[in-house]
Amino acid sequence: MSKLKVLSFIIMPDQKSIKILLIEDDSFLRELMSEKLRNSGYNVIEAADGNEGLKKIQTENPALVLLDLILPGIDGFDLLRAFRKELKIEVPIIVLSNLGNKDDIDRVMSAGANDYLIKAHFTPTDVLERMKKLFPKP
Amino acid sequence: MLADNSESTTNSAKRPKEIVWVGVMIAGLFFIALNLYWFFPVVPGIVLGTIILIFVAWNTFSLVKTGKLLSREKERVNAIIRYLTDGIIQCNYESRIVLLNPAAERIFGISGKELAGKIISPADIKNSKLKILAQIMHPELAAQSRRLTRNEGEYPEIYEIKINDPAERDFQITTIPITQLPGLATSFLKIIHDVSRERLISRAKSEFISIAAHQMRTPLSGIKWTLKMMLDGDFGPTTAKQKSFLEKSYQINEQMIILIRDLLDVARLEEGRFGFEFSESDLIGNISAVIESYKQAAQNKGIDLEFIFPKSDIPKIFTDPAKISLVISNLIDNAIKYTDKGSVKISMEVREPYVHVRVKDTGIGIPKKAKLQLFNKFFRAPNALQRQTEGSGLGLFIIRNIIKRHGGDIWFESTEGEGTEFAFSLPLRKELIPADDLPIKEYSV
Repeated sequence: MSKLKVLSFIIMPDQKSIKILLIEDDSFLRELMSEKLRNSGYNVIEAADGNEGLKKIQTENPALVLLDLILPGIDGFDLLRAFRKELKIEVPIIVLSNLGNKDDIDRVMSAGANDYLIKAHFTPTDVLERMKKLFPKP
Repeated sequence: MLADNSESTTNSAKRPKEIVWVGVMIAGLFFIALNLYWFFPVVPGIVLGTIILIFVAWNTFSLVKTGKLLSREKERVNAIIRYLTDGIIQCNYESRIVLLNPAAERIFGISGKELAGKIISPADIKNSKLKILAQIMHPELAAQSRRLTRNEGEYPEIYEIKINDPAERDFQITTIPITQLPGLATSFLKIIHDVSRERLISRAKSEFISIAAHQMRTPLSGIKWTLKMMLDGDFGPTTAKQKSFLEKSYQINEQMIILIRDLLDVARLEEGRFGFEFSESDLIGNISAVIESYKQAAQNKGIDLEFIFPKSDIPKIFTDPAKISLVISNLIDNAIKYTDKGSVKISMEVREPYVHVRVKDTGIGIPKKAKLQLFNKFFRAPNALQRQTEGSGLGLFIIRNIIKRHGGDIWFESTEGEGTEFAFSLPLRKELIPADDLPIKEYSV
């Protein structure tokens, strides 16, 4: 094992097993974000709409959720409420949306999201940084 | 049109009194003349008689003339009130309706005769006929209402209300007190301007901007993410040449994203829902942080970016720190962008009851002709346009409105070719900050 690998192992223990649920209806953005997450060693589970997201959060048991707001079927706002209130899921949830109204942000944060990022104002690298902040320190 | 004739009766009540007085005067003079005639017949009598006749004739003439003028004036005022497209209601000192013009009758869907002498109470909202009128007389009953005049009891008082029942309508109501004869209580005039159409258009425009901006943001996000990931080597190695082009594309894409952000901010500001969050904040810390973030950009251009620390203490003041950061970064960004050599200096000082912040550069300056339009939406000075193609012309419009919302002001001094100094003021005391967000006028200068 090279020095670099040892180092990354120390910083990110067990990264392969960190499962991220990515709920995003835009296939292009989903593909890009998945690529970035996989390149960084995460295990990515994709969901293209609200219903699929609701199903996979229960079957896959992810460590973190990246959630879009405007989704076919159940939208991100309702999904967030269902995760926190009904399913009592406590894993970190980062909302990734292009809605930027203060009302929307407030609504999402009070419904239990841990962070809110406007897609056009952040890059996948920024998302990784925010994710790292939400994981418990090794 | 007139629900009650109290207005005209006050006028006609005045006239008989005047006639009586003039009559008494004429009778008195006539009596004196008659006596004189008996004592000094013929010559002085004729002279006096003539004077009296002229006097009486002149008085009668001017009385007739005044009467005619008065009635013409009354006709004119009546015609204005009758054909005015805004509704007018007048209430007397007891709040009884005494006047209602046809436009008001149309708005309320009820005739003036039915309302003559009525006092409209909040309970009338249950009466289907008086529903709209009750909400106009008592704005707090409407689905949404807000006072556009800053202070309670400031006249003319302007309210904007939105009613949902019996139909969705928006009204702007101006209340003006009418001081009548001394000693009498004041009556009130309400002018009702139907702004439903304007609000509908404005809402549609905002919705359009929001949807369009959201639709544009998604593909721009895709481009941004792709370019960034290519630059980061996520899709494999790139040559230096490829990297340089990718970087340029990334910057152009960023400009589009910023333009959309600014458009959305303008739409929110115009609707009065920019979401200001005031808290006690440290202005010096705020400014220092922004300056720090521009250090590299200034260094790259060889410009001296300096914060001249205030000599005296600056107390903590109430601001929305995020919005104030936006203001400072916008001013510093402009200063660096339009300065080729020299410096950008930021200073601040207390000028009771405000704190002034200045951003002074040694840049290209603002041409005289552009000065008046500088804070207008989409305006860009010709010398700025020649240098930089990017820039939405929305920045100064946005920051001016942020400062106004804080109860401050923004201004500048500039000489073309020598430099510009922008300055803005923020109140030191909370009381000087306007109570709530108000929709702003489209092209407020």
